[in-house]
Amino acid sequence: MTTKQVFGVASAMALAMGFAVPASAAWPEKDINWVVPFSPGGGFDVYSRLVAPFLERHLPSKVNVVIKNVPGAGGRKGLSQVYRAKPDGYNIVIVNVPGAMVPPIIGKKVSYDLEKITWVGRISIDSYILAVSGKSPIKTFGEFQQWAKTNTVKFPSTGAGSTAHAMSKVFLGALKMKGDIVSGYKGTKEMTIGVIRGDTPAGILPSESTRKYIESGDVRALVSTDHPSGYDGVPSARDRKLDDLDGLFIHRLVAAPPKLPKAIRDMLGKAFMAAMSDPGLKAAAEKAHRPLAPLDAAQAEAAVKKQLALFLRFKDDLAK
Amino acid sequence: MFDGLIEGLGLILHVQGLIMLALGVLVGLVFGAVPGLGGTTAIALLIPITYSMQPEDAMALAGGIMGAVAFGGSISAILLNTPGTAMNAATTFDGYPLAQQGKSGMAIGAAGTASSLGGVFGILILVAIVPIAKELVLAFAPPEFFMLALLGLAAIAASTGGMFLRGLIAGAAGLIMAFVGYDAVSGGERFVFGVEYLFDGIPLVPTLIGLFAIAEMIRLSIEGGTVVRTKEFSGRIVGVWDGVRAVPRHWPTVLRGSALGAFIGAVPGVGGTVASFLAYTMAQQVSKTPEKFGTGHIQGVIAPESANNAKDGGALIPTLAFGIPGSAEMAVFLGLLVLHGLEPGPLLLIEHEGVMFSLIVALTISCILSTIIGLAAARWLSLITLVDVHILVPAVTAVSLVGAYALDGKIEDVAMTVIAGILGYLMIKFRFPRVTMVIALVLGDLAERSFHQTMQITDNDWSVFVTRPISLILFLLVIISLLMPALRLYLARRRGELAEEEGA
Repeated sequence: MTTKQVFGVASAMALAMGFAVPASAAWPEKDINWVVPFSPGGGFDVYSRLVAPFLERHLPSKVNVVIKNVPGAGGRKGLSQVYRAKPDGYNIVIVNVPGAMVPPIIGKKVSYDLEKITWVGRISIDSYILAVSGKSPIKTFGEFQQWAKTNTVKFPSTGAGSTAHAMSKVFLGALKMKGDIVSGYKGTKEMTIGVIRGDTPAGILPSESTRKYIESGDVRALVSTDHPSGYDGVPSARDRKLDDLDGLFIHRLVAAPPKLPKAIRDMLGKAFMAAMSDPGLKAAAEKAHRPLAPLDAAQAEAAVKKQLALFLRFKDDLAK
Repeated sequence: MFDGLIEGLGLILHVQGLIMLALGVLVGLVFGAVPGLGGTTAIALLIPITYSMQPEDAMALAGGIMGAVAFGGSISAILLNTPGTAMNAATTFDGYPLAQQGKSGMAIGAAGTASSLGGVFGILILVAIVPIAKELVLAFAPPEFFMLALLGLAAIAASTGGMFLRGLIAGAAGLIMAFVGYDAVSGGERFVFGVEYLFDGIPLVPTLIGLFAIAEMIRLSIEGGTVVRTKEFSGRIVGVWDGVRAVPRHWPTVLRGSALGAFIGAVPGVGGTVASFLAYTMAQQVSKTPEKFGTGHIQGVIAPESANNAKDGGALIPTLAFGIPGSAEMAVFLGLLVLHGLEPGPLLLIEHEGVMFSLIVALTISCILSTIIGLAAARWLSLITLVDVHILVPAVTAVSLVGAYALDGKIEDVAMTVIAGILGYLMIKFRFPRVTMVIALVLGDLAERSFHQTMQITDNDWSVFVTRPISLILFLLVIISLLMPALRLYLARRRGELAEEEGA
């Protein structure tokens, strides 16, 4: 063969090999983006920054996991961005369930589908409590039910379509109470202060975020969706036979775009679980008072399905 | 508490702590000066770097940044009419005219000194208030937020001087811009036109950069020359020391500005921008020569700069007492605290007194250190005002647009900046005050949201605004603000008539 022909065959072979070798065999080759669809400083951001360094440590090759805050549209923007990204294993996102489910349930168009997204695993969960101000005359859940018979129940929220709003409506429906929701608070912390101040007589708040205020006496928990409630003397929803509220949690999960190739999916899942079991992460999480509740991809998917089913029962309440 | 202070001092005053502090100051000055970056970005970027540090070193770094950002921002506000951060916008009103008169050294000197004094004063207020911090934060509810926003909007009317009607029109346009986006109260989208970018509303910082920096660059490139306009200008930059000395001379202004800044900084959600605007308008209102404001009156620089540094002390009040961020920087800072195991909340001051005091010490030292560094550089920085427009305009435009992009990585922000720039130039040309549009843009959301919240909480009971004591006080202040211009005019005429009678 002439030199030209040899060259031609050689390049053809090289090209063919380039196509034949699956890209995933080399994954990861560059930095991975971990998108946080919320502003820095909040709960999802803190958890992401806690876990990311440990995920880095357990990846098959040495690349960085870079946190990218993409706030907007109540978390929909960052989630949509990753959902629509190429499924090449270089973009993951932290997801709020059931928060992300609320907009489609109430009829908003969204550009993601939680049934098609690739779940990587779960980081943590938080239960919800019905709370009143520490200064409130209402001391128990029973008293609250009594009080609600002759008074208008009001709960704060961050806006129609937010998780807080949805949870408030769910509680109202499950407790069979009529009530108003005062929206417009900028975030969970502002809602908590509103409850302490007495803007509203009560509020539906995430348990872990409110724990320190309960310990200081500024907030009083009346009932929790967790069993046991996690607070002395406070009943759980199960204790009070409120089956609809039992097991209602907010989950923090990690996900990747749909149709992620199996090889990458497995590697990512393995690295994630290794990170979650890393004693370094456990120590850091404890130091930051952020409890972990890890689940692998399959378990996470099952948990999401369960939560979705639970939530759909309240579809009518949410639509009101 | 005294033990905590000693412990805090001890934690900072060692080599590592001081290095972190100095680093924070430099980062803060630079991030503050470049439009679009700012304290929030700086702290967010530094969070990963602090992972392996001791908490007190992270505090030194954060404190260094926070104390320096406001002064850094004032430098670009004065030299280029570009507020480095939103809370420096009010500094441009008198700072830039001073630069145009060749007195940029003086303006920077005053801004730096006012920043120092304001910052220290704000911290003193913080330390004094800590015992009643909780009650103070809880005393402010949606009715008070609404009244505060209304007070700021009333300040618009007062600040426009002779252009009352144009000021109102610009303010109204600003309000319309403020209402664009998703409304949390009704759950609906307003003026979004299906554009995803507008869903979160018209962003403040790109609009500010456009309205002030780009507009000024457009004007300069059309009119030519340099920033400095006076013909008699000798070419030497002097006056930094004059500016420094002017501040203690106007100590009531410093005190008023700082008190206002600390107070407003303590109200979560209102922030440094509002504090600096209100300080400016208050200084104008109580001044014997209000017409001088906007032409290069040094008090117009001192007031906002004292306020925007004092607000850091104020913003720490709800942050440390409750874990409720008093400003956007505080929100990111809280994330940093959490990562270091310092759970912000009612128990923070009790359990981690020493570390918290190390932050306060760091912040105090930073206010002073950043001023020293900034003033030392002031003479060289002022030379920018002598640079010919052919070099200045492209450079500033490029930096501004990059800053707008650096904010969130969105190219739409850059487009917004350009549009705002064109709008700003038209406003300059047709003599519409831009300040009223900006105040309305900043406060519109807060005013509307607080009003709706109040109505929802009280079931549409309007009387709550006058039955709650703080709200009532603020309401009276609003009335006074609105009447002040008319009152002055009346008093001035009366004095004029009396003088005529006597002279006759």
